[in-house]
Amino acid sequence: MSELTQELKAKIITQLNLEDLTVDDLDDHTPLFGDGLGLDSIDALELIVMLDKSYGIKLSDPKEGRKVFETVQTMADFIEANRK
Amino acid sequence: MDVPSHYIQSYCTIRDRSIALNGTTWLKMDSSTTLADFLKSAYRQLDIDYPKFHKMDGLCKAIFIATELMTRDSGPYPSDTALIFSNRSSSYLSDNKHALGIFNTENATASPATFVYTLPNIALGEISIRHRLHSENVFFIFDRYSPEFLVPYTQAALDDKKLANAISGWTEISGHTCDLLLYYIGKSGSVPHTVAQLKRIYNEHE
Repeated sequence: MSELTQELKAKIITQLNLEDLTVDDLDDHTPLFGDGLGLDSIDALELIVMLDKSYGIKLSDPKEGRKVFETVQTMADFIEANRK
Repeated sequence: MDVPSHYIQSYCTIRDRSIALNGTTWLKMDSSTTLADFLKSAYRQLDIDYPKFHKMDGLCKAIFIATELMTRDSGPYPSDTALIFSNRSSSYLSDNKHALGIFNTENATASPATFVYTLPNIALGEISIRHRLHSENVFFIFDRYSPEFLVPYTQAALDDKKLANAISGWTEISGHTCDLLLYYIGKSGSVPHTVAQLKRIYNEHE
């Protein structure tokens, strides 16, 4: 799982152009939106595309995204449970 | 002789790999530096914390840097500062990037972060957010830098709305080159807001 969270952090930083961050700056449990990393709605769409492209997981219910994208850890848990 | 009602209070030019504020070089880098790296260096030199900068396309980044520099010189922009911009290639950089993504025959993907910049007006939105502007704005597409159009149009817009301030200019960005002149217009200053002056300051950046 740790390998997946590290991979996810690297992908998030690259995909979302978070140039001032490194993998080590991102805690597994830091909220990705709101007061945590401060991601916005466009970032959320990018994360949905990333799940599809990198892990073959399609998110069809936007309400589901709110829980899935809470932290790096919740994303990793969701990928582990759903990846094809 | 008529007394001009508006003046150019500050202006910024970005050409090739150099940036000048009011005619004085602020940053100059080697011509082999990529445009992306050059704009990133300019952002770092500004010494501000605005992570959204890194998500912007090249057009927005160049405009962001120029407006940031001018406000340091002239003070904060009033919230009704009009924005009257122009260029030749519109948002071509992002349009092309988006097209390459969606027409990729092996792995077609639409990136929301790219798509959101496929209009030049988005740059006006970005600086309106940054400087808390709630103002009139327009983005013209011309073949070339046209102060003959911009000056009377801007003047009419200012007079019509009884506004004191506007940011106007030319912001042409391609994959590797940047040809930008933005100027901040106000009620006072030493450089009159005229076609002749705008031709002069556009050409002074070697």
